[in-house]
Amino acid sequence: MIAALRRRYGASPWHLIAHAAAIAIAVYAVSRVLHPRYSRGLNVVVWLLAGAVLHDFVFAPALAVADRLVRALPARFVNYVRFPAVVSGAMLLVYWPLIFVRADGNYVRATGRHVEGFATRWLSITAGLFLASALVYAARAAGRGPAARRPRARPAGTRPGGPGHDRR
Amino acid sequence: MKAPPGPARETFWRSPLRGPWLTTALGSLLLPLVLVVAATGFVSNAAYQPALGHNALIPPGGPRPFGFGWPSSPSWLYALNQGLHVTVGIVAVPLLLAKLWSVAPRLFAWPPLRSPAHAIERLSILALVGSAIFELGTGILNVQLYYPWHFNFVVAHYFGAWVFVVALTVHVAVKLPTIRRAWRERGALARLRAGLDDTRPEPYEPGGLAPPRPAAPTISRRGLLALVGSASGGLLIVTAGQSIGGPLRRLALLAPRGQSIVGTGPNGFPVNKTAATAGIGHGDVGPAWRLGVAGRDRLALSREELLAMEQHEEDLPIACVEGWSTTQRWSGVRLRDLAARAGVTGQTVLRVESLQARGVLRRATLGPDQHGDARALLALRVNGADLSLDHGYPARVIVPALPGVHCTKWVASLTWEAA
Repeated sequence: MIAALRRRYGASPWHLIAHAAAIAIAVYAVSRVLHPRYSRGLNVVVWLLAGAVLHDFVFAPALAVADRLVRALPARFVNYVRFPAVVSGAMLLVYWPLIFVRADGNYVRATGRHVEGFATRWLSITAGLFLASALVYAARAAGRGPAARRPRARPAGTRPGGPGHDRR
Repeated sequence: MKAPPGPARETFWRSPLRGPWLTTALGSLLLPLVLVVAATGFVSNAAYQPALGHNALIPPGGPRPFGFGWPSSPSWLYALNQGLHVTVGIVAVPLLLAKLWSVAPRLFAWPPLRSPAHAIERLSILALVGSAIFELGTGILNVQLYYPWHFNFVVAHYFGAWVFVVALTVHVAVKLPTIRRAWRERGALARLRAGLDDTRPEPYEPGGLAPPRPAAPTISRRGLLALVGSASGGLLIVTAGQSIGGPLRRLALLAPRGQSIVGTGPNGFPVNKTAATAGIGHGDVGPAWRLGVAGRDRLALSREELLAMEQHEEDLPIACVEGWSTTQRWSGVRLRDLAARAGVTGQTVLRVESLQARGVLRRATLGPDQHGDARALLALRVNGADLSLDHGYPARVIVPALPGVHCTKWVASLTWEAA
């Protein structure tokens, strides 16, 4: 009987029990939030799913396109652009509500001060990161000398790049 | 049936870095971080002591798996807990994105559902990814005081964590054999020694993560880990200072309570609610103000009478649930001295009420470990000056290791009740 279940279900009975239990607990947890005192309609369910959907179908593809644009640069520059862009981008992703001043009223009520200077500081950090990256590139290029700047041999076992969709 | 053109075809995915080793490495780095964030979140709920008075912010009923007594030592316990919760959560963001990138081909796998087992597994992955992004997203917006949703943040963040923890447990259990195989067959560190010229794609297996037609690498695997680590490290630098304080606060360039909030003078440290927001004006705290004290006896004490009692000085942190904290030198009357003056005996809880007329956090109930601690004060002064109105003049509670919002400001009354 277990063998028949395994064949029809596609995994061991433990797999089914564990997943069923997890899904039951998850549904219970979400139902606790759905009380009208704590949420309006299904807003919390929308938020629970929207993050995954937006990430998978908007954010991640946008990131892949951005990386493809960076890869269109001469190969020796690519990672010197990626590093400052990714570090700065992560800060923007986390702190955009402060950088774009999305909740000044709440900030004033909490702290007694206005949201000020976050955009300037983020732009300064970004400029500093790109500058630092350019200096590291220049220092390494000078250290290697002109001979080492020739394109390197392609590692064995890989195909030439071409117009790949996703070639990080 | 053949997959339609596009991401459902394995040949669409070209990155030579993808494969079991990279996903296992990213997952193994991410796992301890999210465990810290989840554990500190549940600990924070316990620190609010939801069983006492009106402390519970989560609706009662249902199991409370993490309810336990909350200690008052060490005094920085809650500051550490919340500093970890918020900072580690923020630092985990780049790792989570990299982890999701590394498994992107599986999202579009063809056929979409191979068996009932595959279907239920995909459902649990949706719950895992959805709740991970929900928990990090709502937490990160909350610390920036931005609430673009229509639900109670505390309740949704708490129960969202349940979804995340059960989905993560099942995910790790299901993937454990894959993780062990990846470490055993591919070695934990061998891949890290390879620079760009030695970066090879992992062997292709149908339905796996490694691509059938890998492109030439533009970055090594250790380079990718360094890239993700730089993003996490950058976030750490611009964030952690708001929790550590001191000169590092100036380095917290983007944290909500970092550089932007550095002040001067004895009262120049952050607040979480201004007097104006609480509806408290100078008229409410003038010479007519009396502290109601109720135990066996009922007293009404003026600020002068409180200042005439024995004054104690303690260096204690104010630690906010939102992750920032700051240690200051407080002075005032010990709560236990006030209890003795009101003739309080036996095991009691202390109900503290604020002058603030509205809001869930205008009152707090403290357990015996909290109000009985020798360092627990009704503070009247800070850093040698009177409290400012924003910091709770005429008197505020300050208790070691207690969540900041339970260190009630503008205290109106203290009531000891049988536990």
